[in-house]
Amino acid sequence: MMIKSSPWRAALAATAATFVAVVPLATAQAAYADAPTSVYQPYPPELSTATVPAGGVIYFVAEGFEPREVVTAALVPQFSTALSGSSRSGDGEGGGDKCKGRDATYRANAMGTVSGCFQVPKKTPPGPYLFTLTGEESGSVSAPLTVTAKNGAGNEYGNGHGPWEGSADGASPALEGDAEGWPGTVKVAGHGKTLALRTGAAGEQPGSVGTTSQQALVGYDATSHVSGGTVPAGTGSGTNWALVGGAAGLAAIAVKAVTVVRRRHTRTEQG
Amino acid sequence: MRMPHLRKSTEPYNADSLVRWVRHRRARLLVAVLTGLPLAGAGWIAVTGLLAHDELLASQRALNSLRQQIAAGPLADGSTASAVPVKQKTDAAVRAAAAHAARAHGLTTGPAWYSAAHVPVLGGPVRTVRGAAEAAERLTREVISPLADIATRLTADTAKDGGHLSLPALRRAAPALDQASRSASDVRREVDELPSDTWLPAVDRARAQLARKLDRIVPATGDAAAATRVLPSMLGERSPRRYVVVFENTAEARGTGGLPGAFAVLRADRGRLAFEYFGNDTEMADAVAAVDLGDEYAASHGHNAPTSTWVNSNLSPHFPYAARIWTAAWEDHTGQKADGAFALDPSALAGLLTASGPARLPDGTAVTAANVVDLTERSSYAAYPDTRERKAFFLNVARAVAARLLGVANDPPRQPALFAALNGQLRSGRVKMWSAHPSEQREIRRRPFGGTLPDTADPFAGLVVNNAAGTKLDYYLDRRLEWAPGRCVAAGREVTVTVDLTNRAPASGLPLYVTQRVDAPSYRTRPGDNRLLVSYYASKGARLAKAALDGRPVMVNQAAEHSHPVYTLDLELPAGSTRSLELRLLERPSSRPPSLLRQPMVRPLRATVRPYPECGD
Repeated sequence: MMIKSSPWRAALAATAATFVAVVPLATAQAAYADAPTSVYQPYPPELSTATVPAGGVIYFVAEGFEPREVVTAALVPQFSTALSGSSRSGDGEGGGDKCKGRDATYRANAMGTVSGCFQVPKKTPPGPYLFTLTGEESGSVSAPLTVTAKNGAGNEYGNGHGPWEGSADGASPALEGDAEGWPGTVKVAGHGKTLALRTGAAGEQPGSVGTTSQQALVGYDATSHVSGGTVPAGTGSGTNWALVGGAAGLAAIAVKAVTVVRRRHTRTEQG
Repeated sequence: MRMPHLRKSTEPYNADSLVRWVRHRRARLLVAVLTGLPLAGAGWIAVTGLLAHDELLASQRALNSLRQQIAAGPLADGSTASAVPVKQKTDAAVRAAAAHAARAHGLTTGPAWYSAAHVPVLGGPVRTVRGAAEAAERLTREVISPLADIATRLTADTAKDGGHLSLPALRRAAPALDQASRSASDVRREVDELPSDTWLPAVDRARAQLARKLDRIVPATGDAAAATRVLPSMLGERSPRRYVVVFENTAEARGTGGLPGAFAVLRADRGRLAFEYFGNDTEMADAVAAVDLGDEYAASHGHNAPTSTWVNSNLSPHFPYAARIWTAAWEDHTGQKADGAFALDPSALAGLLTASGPARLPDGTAVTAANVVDLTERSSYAAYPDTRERKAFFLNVARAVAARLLGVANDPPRQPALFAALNGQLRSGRVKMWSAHPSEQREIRRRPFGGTLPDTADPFAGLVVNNAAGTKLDYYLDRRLEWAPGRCVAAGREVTVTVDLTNRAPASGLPLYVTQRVDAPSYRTRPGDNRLLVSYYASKGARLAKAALDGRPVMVNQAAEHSHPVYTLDLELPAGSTRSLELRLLERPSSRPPSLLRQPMVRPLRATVRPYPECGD
């Protein structure tokens, strides 16, 4: 009762497709060889991260906190243990209120979800940061974010295409439900929590200038709860990292200026 | 008076004795019958079972012989003169296999087998043997024989037309192939219903072996039937067709395999194929694909401008996305509409050279299945630092390989082995296809060469890497994936996914072109260091509980594609290092093994799927 598969079947299954594919396969090689020698390669793909101008706002929804837990929001510079400067923030229990007040504390709802908006201090130095939400009991969740100079522009994404577009209250992030699938939304997950955020420029209505961009440096979290970036420690010494960290802000300014459109036109001789 | 008395006195005694004797005899007879018949039946079943076993083995040998003749016969002696004898041999082998299977089925029918099969518990192996023999008979009669006939006719028609596939013959074959496909599915279902855990382990093993064979036969038959339905139109039976064919360089990873470098445009007209244009990525630099792939796609990949950046057009592993971009970009570039797209890579070429034999370059260098990937994705960068010289070398390789493959493809006796090799490449996803025509795409998308993310909620595990450094170092990338289901909890089944990535690039000696960091990282790197966007595509409905990189908690970017959660990490991977990403997920409870997405790259994915423990363990 051990029936062997006939190769005829395999041959037949392949026959028709082969007539389409064999010749292309062979000739595509020739096509490759015949191609002009001047070719291009733009920047390689990068992970989507958020960009916000100094003085702008961050709208967020995070899940996985304890019910009714008090959650503190902060902007943490990467490559440094110092916290960022003062921040305006909303009381935003459950979200829906305007960004206001200096204490960036929120309270999770009965489901452990916290949402609101966070205003980036106007004098925040440009550079890579982590937007971090820390619960009193359950730990933190953070997402990478680049702060640009005041009025710094993002790229073409997130220009009001988010789920809160046309929000009636003009301030609610309305990042309700599944924020995935909306351009300009950055969402991260880990150790039982998720965080979705979107940004807006200072003095503008939410959703009008939400941005994401490409960021050369990654490294998701530098808090005590979450590990540092994905650059392995062996790549450089601690001293080097401090130096690199100091330069990172400047680097990020340069990097963020490289928009997607501009990258498309970057040329490098390749073969 | 005494006699009668005596008779009277003895008759009852004797009669009683006789009755008792008779009754005793009847009882013994009954006992004998009751015990003898089953014994005889058991003996009959044992004898006929052994004979059926021999017949099935003979059927198997006939099919093995058939396979060897087709696989080795024409290529072994390299002469087309052997084609006719080989065909006769294969026909004879198919007939012999069918005859042996029919005899095996006949031996396992009749009252003894029928009765024994209905005995509770003890009849389990009998039912399995009887069902398996019947399955073998149906398989050879309703599936293998018609398939062989069709293949023979198609081959003959193809040979008459100088190697070109006869589309009318293909269309005529469709009904028979549909029937064969349905029969194969029916047989598979019947075998599934047979007892699989009887008191006779040998029978259980044989049933399992048959089921495994059918697991290959059923999809192969289905593919053949689908091919006859869609290929006549795809090959331009009614109107000419145009396809974009993209060559992927897997030394620089992209979601569907590798960076789309060169491409060709293929024209199909009434079964005749011809290339009408060749180009490469430079030409497509300014092409913009006017295609909307949805908000979900834009959220995940939009910031990399895939619709306007040719080399970033296939970041998602979902091949239809890339194909739609390619065809739309071609239309933007030339104004010509394309009817579909194909993708393939040097490893696919290697698979085909295995069947065709080596090609030879003008300087005598052999291009073989063993070295074509190395030649085109590694050694040429070192041997030809000058771009023009390297391209001239590629041209030589291309010409030699093309000549070899086309030579074999147009030689009917040699076609089966080459087409079987192509079938392997299609089934492994190294050759992918997409059609812009919905009726055709419906057939393609369900098959491995469709390259689609599954729509079902069944367990799924997909490791996808995209090169984020602009290097050609993915030639040296090793990937390991372990999928380990854990206990059941209220929220679902715990699943731990471990991804190990190793950069085996040498610390020195690589050409600058291979190691250059186009991403211009702000941190210090060394030649050979690589950077990857590492994405894990999880089962629908999965939720991430924890993530750790090299044992330390880490946050990962979260997105979704086709309702599959996608967790992505931007990972620096220094030369010579291994980095380990662990994801702890909660998935919907299931007992099915996960479907694995195997991104085609230079080095194969080494995947381990652990068995399910009982819920609660």
